[in-house]
Amino acid sequence: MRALITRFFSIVALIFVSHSSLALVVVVGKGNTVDSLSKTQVIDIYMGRYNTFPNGVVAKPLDRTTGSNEKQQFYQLLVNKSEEKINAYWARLLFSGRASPPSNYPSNDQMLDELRRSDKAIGYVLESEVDDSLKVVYRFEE
Amino acid sequence: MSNCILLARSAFIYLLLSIVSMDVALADTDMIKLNGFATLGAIYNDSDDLGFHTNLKTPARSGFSFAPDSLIGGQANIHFAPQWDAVVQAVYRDKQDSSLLNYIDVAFLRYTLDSRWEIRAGRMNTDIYFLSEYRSVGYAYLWARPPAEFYSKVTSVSQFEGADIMYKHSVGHGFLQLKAGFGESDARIATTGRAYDIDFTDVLSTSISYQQDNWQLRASFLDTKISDFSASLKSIDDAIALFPPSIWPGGLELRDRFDFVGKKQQFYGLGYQYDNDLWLIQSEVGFINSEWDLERDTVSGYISVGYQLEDLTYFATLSAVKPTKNNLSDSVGEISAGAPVAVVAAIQSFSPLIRDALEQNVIKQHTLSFGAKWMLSPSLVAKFQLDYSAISENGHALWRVYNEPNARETVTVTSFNLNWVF
Repeated sequence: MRALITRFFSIVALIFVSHSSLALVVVVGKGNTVDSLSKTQVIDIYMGRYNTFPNGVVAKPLDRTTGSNEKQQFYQLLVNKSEEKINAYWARLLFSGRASPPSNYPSNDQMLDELRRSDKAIGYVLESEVDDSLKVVYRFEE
Repeated sequence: MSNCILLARSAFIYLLLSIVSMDVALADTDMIKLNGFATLGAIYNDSDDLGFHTNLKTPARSGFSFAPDSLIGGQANIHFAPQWDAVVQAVYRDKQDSSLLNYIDVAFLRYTLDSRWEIRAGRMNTDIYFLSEYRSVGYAYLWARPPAEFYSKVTSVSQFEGADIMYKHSVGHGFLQLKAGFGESDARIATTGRAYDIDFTDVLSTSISYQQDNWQLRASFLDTKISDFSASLKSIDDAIALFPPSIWPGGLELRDRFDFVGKKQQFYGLGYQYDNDLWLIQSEVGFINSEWDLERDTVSGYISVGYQLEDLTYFATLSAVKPTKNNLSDSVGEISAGAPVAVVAAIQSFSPLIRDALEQNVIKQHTLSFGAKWMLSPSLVAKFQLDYSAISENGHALWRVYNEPNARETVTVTSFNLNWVF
């Protein structure tokens, strides 16, 4: 049931708020040289396919902790997968020795702090929280 | 090439020593990440004749047992430098080989050339089927354990010491990975009876996989050469020594059929997976081609269908394995026309023994499995599974034989397990 509700709200979010201040956007710190990414490039980084940005600079993807609405919504929008599927996917990648999952941040403020601090960091926040210290590199299409 | 293997083995030992000597405080930094997984699993095997084991490397059990599926594993990911990292994984479980070093499943050093190319050296999983690299992590897959018909035999070469190279590339909306590895491997395995040590050299593995949206395809090839096997050929040698080649020219040919040194085996695998969050379909098929008559050529495969409802997934799996050469000759070979009748009769009397030896390792069976998987929490999964196995007469080499079955035998194995990641 939880997965269905999550999916429903993700769809609602997509339809009504994708261009509003409540939409999730993918961001990097102002000091990062990357200006924009395609959806495939965001998938490559967040799903452990590549550990660098397209320009070769090491990428440090940031995640919200398990169970957060932002995390559930982000992965539905990105790869259309539930958080349970994402957890199993990362268990496979981690224990295969192929890649380590993104670092988890319990609050938005902590993720924002890390995004401002590190030029390698990439994260997802509500558009309303984007200020001059951050750059939006990807917006989910309607 | 043996220098490369020596280098890989040195890298493996060096990594172990490095991990042991590392300060635990490093665990708090980004340099080293520690993770683990565990399974607490119970099985009930209803057969008194045939002992159940998850693969040929683990001891068999009858009745109720926690041993076959329970395990605990720990992993350290160490990032030395931007392009260098290492992974060490130790798994404690019931197994035939109890040497301390072989509880280390994985220990490799990796150099990342660029975003597409990676080179590794050390001890690694042989990447030849879907679950190659996370077979011990029950949390990460659907069933109580991988289908024995497909996975048991090839698991004998599940790790190797050597080096491999991987190329990965985004193609269209999908992702392509190519891998090739070379090294050597050893294992302590048991089929119907006592356990034997087997060493493989020139282990060459290659694989290609492509993933796009909801589906994934993979193909793999493995080539190995047996360099040592702890079984004795003494009884054959003694029999052949009784009769000079001028009397029994076929004797030497017969010995060559049974000899294992230098005999090659190949595995060819194909796999397909589809997952749309409601239906999960996974299937693999494998062929083993063996130069050694005691290990038959086999074909094996499975198809599994899962139906996913919220935190619960129901599944059914059909898996089967059979030899592709059913009638290997039990002929004693050429006997000289001038041999006395009593000698001919004595040599001919070896024929049933040859037949027995040839049938000792035959695997012919199929299993129908039903089960369910519950996601109890983000880090805990419970699984229940019923396996109905139908084993052909003289085809029970996936089982430890306590009493020789006289006919086709059916065995039910019931499993319940809890699987964590942490």
